[in-house]
Amino acid sequence: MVNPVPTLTTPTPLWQRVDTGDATVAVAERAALGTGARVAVWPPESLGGALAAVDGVLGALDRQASRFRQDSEISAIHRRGGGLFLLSDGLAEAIGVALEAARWTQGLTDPTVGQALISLGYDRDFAAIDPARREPAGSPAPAPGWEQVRLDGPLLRLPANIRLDLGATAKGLGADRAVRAAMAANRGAGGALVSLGGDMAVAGQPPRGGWPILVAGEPGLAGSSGIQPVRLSSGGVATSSTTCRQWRRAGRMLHHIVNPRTGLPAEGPWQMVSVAAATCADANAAATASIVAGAAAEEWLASTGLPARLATHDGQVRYVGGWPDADGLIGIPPDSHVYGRARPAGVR
Amino acid sequence: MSNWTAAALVAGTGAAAVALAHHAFPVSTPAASTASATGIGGAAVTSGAGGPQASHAVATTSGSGVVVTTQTKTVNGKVVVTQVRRPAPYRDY
Repeated sequence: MVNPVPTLTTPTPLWQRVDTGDATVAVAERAALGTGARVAVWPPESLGGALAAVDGVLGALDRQASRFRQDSEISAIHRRGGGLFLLSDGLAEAIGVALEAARWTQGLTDPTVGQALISLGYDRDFAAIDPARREPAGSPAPAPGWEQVRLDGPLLRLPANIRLDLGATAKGLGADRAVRAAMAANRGAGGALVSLGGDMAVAGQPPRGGWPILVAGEPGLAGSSGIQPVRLSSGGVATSSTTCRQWRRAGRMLHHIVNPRTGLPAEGPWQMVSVAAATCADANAAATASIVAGAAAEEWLASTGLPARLATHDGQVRYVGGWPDADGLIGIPPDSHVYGRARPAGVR
Repeated sequence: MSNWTAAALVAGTGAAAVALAHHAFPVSTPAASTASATGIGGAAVTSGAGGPQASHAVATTSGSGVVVTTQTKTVNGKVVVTQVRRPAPYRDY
């Protein structure tokens, strides 16, 4: 199963330019992977090449890892019902990152939660889920455990009872890949930021003081829990929230962040958690793990040394690891926990 | 956050929207602007010299659910930057 990444020289016509008010950077956005993708670059004239490169990465990731596409590589694996598989480099990296994230978070994230999500009703493209079905969700399906999945380079051994879901790391991985591709398309000149559904990675030289970004709570939340401006000069930032991707089953509100140990939506004090890390995949995994960790999240985050911003359901905001409490640069430790052993050289 | 003003308005996005207006993000760079770090791929990057000045937010991190759009207009001779939060449709892995 080889999914070569096509080399695109011109971007798709889906992109729309965004005027941020600064002529020094060029920004464009499009729908992608069921969410929004946004690319910011400088110098502005490098935008076309960056967008074409990002298109290639997003298309490849969707074909590799989307469990909602019948023609994706991961769907083909699931249809086989377990066994030994030779993966494309891209899917091998994606699963490898998910497994490393599970090891790092001690199972707070776990790619074997696929069946748990299906049991809860998250069994199709989110936009296609009936948000108020009357029948109850299926029985809770605790994750079988990431330790049962064996990955040796491109060889995957998957037990028959396991369905993978890479939701804790896939968007972050995609942002990491896309920003690398954007920089490569412009031969390393200038700088780039790529955001996939709010999980973002930066590379190259940032604007002075860092890329200006916003941390935003749900509409209706005001004050410090509503919107915070910060700046990012390296690595990535990701946010996980329990108030998006919600649906009902028999009157019970459910959401997409599943506690692997129970197979049920994670409960706890946090409405949203934002984490910055050396890569967006690290940040993505840490943000999801923090939601699952609940009351223990601050202690776990402190042990990682990662800057984080945690907002409670009643609007209180906590900062750990040096996350600025006002507009300021986020300082990020340089080491990644989920790459290294997981990343084959040159994979996009 | 000190430069945030109290102005709030509802923009016509058709979605439930809360907007906060402020003049702009600070133009001055943070004190740590010359710090260095390691970027993706291991290349050293700095947040200081060499890059352009960017005062307005280029992206939003929001748990996938919220998109903030920025609108800039001049009111009574002052530039007012408005952020409008709106929910977005999503699918996810």
